[in-house]
Amino acid sequence: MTMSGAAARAHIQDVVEKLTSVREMVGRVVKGQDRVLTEVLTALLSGGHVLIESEPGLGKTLLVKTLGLVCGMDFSRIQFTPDLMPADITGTISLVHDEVGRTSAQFQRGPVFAQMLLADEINRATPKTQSALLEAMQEHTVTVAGHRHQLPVPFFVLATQNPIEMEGTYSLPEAQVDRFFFKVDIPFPPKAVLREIVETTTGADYAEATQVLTPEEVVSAQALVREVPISSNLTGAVVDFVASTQPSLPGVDDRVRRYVRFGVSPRAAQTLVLGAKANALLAGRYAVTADDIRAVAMPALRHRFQLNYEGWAASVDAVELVRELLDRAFRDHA
Amino acid sequence: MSVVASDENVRSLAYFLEAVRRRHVFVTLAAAVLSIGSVTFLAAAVARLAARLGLISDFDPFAADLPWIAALWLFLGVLTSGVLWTVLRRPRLDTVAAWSDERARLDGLARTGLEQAGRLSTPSLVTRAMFQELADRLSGVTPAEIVPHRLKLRLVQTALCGLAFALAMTVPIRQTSTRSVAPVSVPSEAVTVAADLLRLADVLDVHATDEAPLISGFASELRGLAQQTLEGRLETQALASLLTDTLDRLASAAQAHESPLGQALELAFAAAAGSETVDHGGPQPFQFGSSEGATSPTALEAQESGTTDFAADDVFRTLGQVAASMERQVSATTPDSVEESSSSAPSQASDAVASGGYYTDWNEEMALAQSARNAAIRERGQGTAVAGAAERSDDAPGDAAGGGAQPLLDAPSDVDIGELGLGVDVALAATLDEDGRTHAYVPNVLPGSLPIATTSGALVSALVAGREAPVGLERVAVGHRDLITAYFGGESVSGGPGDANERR
Repeated sequence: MTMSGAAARAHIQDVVEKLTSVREMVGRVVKGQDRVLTEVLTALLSGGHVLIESEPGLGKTLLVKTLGLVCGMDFSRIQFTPDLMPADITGTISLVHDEVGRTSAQFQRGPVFAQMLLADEINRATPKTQSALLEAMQEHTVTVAGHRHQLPVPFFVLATQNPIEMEGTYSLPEAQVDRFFFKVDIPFPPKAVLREIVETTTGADYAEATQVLTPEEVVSAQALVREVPISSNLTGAVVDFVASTQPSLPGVDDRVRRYVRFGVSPRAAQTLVLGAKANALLAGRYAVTADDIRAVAMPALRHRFQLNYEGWAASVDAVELVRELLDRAFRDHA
Repeated sequence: MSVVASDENVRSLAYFLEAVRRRHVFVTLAAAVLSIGSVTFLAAAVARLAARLGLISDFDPFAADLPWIAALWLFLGVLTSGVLWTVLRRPRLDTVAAWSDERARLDGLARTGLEQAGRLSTPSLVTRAMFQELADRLSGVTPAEIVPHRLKLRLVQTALCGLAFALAMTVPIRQTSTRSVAPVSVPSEAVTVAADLLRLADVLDVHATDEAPLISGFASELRGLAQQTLEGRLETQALASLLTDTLDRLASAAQAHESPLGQALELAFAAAAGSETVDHGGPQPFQFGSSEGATSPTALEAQESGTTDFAADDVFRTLGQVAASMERQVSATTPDSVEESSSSAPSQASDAVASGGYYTDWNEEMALAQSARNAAIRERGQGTAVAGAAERSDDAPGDAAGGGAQPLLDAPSDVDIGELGLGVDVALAATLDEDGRTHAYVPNVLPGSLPIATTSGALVSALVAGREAPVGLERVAVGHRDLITAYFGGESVSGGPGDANERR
């Protein structure tokens, strides 16, 4: 049955109102992190995963737990350590004795089988273990002993890495970092927010979040995001922007050719468009604008656009360079 | 880019975008026409004024007889340019949609909706909601908000430029004050030749009762030549050729008719021939009754070949002589002497030539005319009287010109038409009759323009220069004639041809 325009708009407005409620509910618990929350929610609606880089104690775990609770999603946490094995993530086959004394091999699901997974300090695990998680992130499946196991839907991974204490860590290779939809940095909160955090988390009246969405509604919202239309000129601008970051291509900006180690991948273009759609829907709009793309450009490109050594030595501002290239692409497609 | 109108909301978007585009086309056309028109009209006005002021030459497309035709073509050119400009700048629908998104703050709905309308046969949930939202928001937006106009300022600019152009079109420089715009001048000899042509035409009109159609045609032809001469539309040689041909035909026509005009012309040409022979000893350009006259191969061949065997000065001098002789004969054939004029005419002409009466006529006429001009100028309070044509001409005694006609100058000086009295000011001329008495008259200058004596005082002052009361006045208002009569102590003066007053 085809829904009329007015009914469709009412349905979408209902979804938008619920998403707004999610933000407000999480915001009651996680203070002063509206931008972070919006970026995380955008990635969730886009079906992507988030890499958070922040110092300890800024509320990463609290954010993920609260978001999982509000969205009604199963929450799981893995603390990555150097001795963590892939089976500790994906699960393992163990011998199980039943009541009649028979012994059988049974797959024991690992913590990855959750709708919302917090991979804390992912850079402390070995690359082998990291790749096991990244495979699950990419394929939404886990293969153990030749058997393929489907991960729950929705599946959202929020990995963290500590920018300090780099000894004994295994930095994620660029190819694997590229699989994260967004890279979000959590800034240190201002004093006023910090005071509020202290007062609300140390008193007797601790704010608790309640469920607003169901996992099915999250999946439905993810489907709606993909339906948000985007005009061809914006798509063309994104494509031109991605091409303009490739130092190997002819005709690119001289700074790109000299200072950029490698340009952003086609996955970055997908991220920009899909993230912009989610951003538009979160704002209650039905079409993507250039501002939506600008809003998601930094978290989408922060871990994909890297300068070379000459760029670092010349103190090139990568963020400013990305903005210039993006603005130029929009001007060309105005 | 087409729009698939599969939904009411989609159709509303299509209608809105088409309305915006139509408005843009209209506004662009109006702005283009106004802008191009203002620039063009202003440039044309400046060019016309510059051409009239002599700053540029050979660029006055509105100097024709029907300048508004040129103005109409100019307007059509402006309109065509505006249409072409508008067609070239006609926007596409996606461009119009982008304007709508930007100026009506539609958050990209118009452009995205336009693309989706032409792309999807079954729009998705979000797309349907988008079209519904777009239709609701477009209902509060008018095309004028998307395509505003600033035509008022351009309209004022164009109106001012058009007004300047209209003023430049409708106010010829020759009719403006000499203090504001430089006067249009013609060479003095051209004025003299034109005056002689008009005088001869006037004399022919007196005889128009005899051979009315033929003579009226010649008079009109002479007046036409005079007007072209005054307007500077004829070169000297061309004028001489045309004049030679006209007078040849006139002589032939008059010779074919046994009439008073034919006799008068015969006397006039004979007098001119005698004077020419005495003064220069050379041939005459046209001779009455001679085989070398109307059929003279020199005149016709000269006209056909573009050159003449006779110098233009000789042609013009002969014209003056013929005109003066004809005038003297007309003066002599006043009602009280018409019976004896035919018998005494040859002896009068020969007497005039033999006694050198032409020089007397010339000097007195020019003195009277100059006095009249000076008096008129004093009346207007314009300061020093402007020297007349006689003062600026090298009128040597050996140059035998006709009555009132000047010898042609090698380096002609420019004389204002109005100052010579050939325009709207008083023009006074005088001749001596056979008794040596002054006969003053106001010559008819141009067809359709009546000479007007500015004031009676100016006319009287001109007559005072003659130190005697004139025996007759021609074409002078009755009131002025009474004043002149009173000025000369009650001695009445008679009217000229056609005037019932006679000297008592």
